[in-house]
Amino acid sequence: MLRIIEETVRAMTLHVLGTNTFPDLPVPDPEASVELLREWLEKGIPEFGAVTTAALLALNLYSLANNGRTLPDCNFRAQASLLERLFKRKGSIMYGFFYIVSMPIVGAYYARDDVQKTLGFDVVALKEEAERRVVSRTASLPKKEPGEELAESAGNL
Amino acid sequence: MIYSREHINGDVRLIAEVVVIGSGAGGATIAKELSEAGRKVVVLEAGGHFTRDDFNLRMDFAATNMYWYGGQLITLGTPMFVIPQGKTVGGTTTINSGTCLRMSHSVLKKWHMEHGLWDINDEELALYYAAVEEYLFVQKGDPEVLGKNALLFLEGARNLGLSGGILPRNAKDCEGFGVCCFGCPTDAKQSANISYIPDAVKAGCDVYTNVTVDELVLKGGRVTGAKGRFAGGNGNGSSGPTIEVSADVVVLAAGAFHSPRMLLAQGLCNSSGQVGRNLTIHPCSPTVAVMDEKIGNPKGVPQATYVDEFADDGIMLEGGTVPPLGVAMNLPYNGSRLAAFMSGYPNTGMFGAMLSEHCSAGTVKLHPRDRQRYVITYNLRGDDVRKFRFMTEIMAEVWFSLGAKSVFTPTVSFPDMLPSDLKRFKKQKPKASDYIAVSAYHPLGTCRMGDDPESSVVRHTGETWDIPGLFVCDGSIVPTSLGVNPQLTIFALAMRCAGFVDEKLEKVAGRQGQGKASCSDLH
Repeated sequence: MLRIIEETVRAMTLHVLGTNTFPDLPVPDPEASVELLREWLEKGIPEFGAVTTAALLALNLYSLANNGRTLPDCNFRAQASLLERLFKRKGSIMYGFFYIVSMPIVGAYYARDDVQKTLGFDVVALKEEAERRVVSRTASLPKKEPGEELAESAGNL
Repeated sequence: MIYSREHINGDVRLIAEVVVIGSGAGGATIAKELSEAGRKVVVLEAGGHFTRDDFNLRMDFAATNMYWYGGQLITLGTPMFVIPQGKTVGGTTTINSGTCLRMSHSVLKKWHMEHGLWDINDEELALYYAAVEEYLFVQKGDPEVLGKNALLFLEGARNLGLSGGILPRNAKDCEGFGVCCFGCPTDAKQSANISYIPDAVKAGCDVYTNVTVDELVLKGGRVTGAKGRFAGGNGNGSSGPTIEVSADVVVLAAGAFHSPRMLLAQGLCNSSGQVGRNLTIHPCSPTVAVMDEKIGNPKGVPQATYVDEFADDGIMLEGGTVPPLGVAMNLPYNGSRLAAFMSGYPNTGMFGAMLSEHCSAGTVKLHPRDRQRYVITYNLRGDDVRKFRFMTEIMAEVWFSLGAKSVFTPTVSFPDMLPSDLKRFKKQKPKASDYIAVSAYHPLGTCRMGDDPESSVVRHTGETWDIPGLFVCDGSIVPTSLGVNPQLTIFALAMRCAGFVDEKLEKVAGRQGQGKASCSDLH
């Protein structure tokens, strides 16, 4: 993966996720975004990789044209302003590029166990519970004991 | 036995009576029925073998390991649809919601009138449906485990005078873990990977996983087997050892995309010109409602209830909940707006709708540079665009009647609809290009059956018109949209098809003047 692509995804992570004003949500990890994109480029459809790469390069060209610098080289405020401008151009090609590039960032963050647990989906607890409730085609599952309900998805919010 | 990549140390050569390509609803059923009838069956599956021990409730794990192309399979056209398709033992049945609905008499009538399929009749089909339903424990879900989301939406719809109910599913002792589409972690969902395939294996069938089939082998105008290749050492690609299975009958059951792709790649069975054409899908539109109360998704049954008030107009509303990742990936938001919406996930309600009868159709063509891949084209057109908008509209109305503060819709013009927007949304001229982040399901029709070799690819038996001994048995032979989720019909048709394959084998044995072939496993 090109270095400019890695740096662009890293730079975009905090802007795309916008979690800084939501203290209950875990802190994003830009490296996880880069890792997921790497996995998608390796395992996904080649065309998806090509479009994502083109979109990331286009974002940087847009940044060069507007700010005289690539996106990772802009300061945080300039990055935010540029991305916000793109996001408001719904229906445009640049918006489409922005949407595509955001996907691995959003995907990497909301796939995290701690993030999903915060939102009420405790994957680890439910998996443990599932292991105790295995269904057989030839026998009925015993009734649950009182208090043995499915892990309550209370979340932290 | 089910062979995984790690069991294979060198090239494999096998002799069987039947080789089945694909282990989804079609292939698994054929494999079980014929194995139990004493036939030697080998199944070749492109995906890996995953069990409930592997199913970790994670959408990202499922997409990466059990969906074709990591869940990135899309149509080219307007709008673009993501089509999730299973690539694992059990095929899409392993990663679907488990809904089991019979097709209506009117659809069968269409098969009779438009495709000459008079050999398939209501009475016979009802017997197959009943057998499959019993085998798969098809029943309506227990309201205790359906979850608040499903029951709330149904109540809202009924309050507006819309008809609906609880969906029948192939689930036994389901306790509503809410992750049917990522592999059932308790084996409650009776997908082919825990029902038909294990029973086939018990009866002597061998299943080889991680196999990409490259070629159907032909000799003297007959099909005589299939050749393929195992995935590489890391489970990816197709750079591993080769596998060749000689068989009297080949059953292509690779689904509505890969079955036509394989035929097109070799230029087979296309004297009618219909291979890869007549693709029908069910385009779907989701809604996510922001409620005051806690809904508790995804706990419950993701696809538990339905609204069929508009079924005659080709619109079915069916539940569809997803975990936080699934919602976040579909939202056209970013920054603090995305975080704010997702913080409210525990209070979101979700429901989906599908265009179950439509005039749009698509095609599956060979990828111009890669014979192992294909390109799907599909455009939403005509009245379907209006219906697609109406689906969103009616779901939003239900949510607003239940007190939703806003409803996310997959449209560019009204992504975040407020109650006051509904009137404007209804007045807006519908455009196919207005939709983003939409998905489609249930691809059918690309090797359709019929009574005329000039307009169909297979006979009513599933055998191709052009090549004796080559059967197709999956969603691709279903000649029209079914109006409902298709898995039950594919299981039933496959059960029917198994009888014709058995008859074919009898004829072949008679011609060869010998009994059943023995399996010789030379690896």
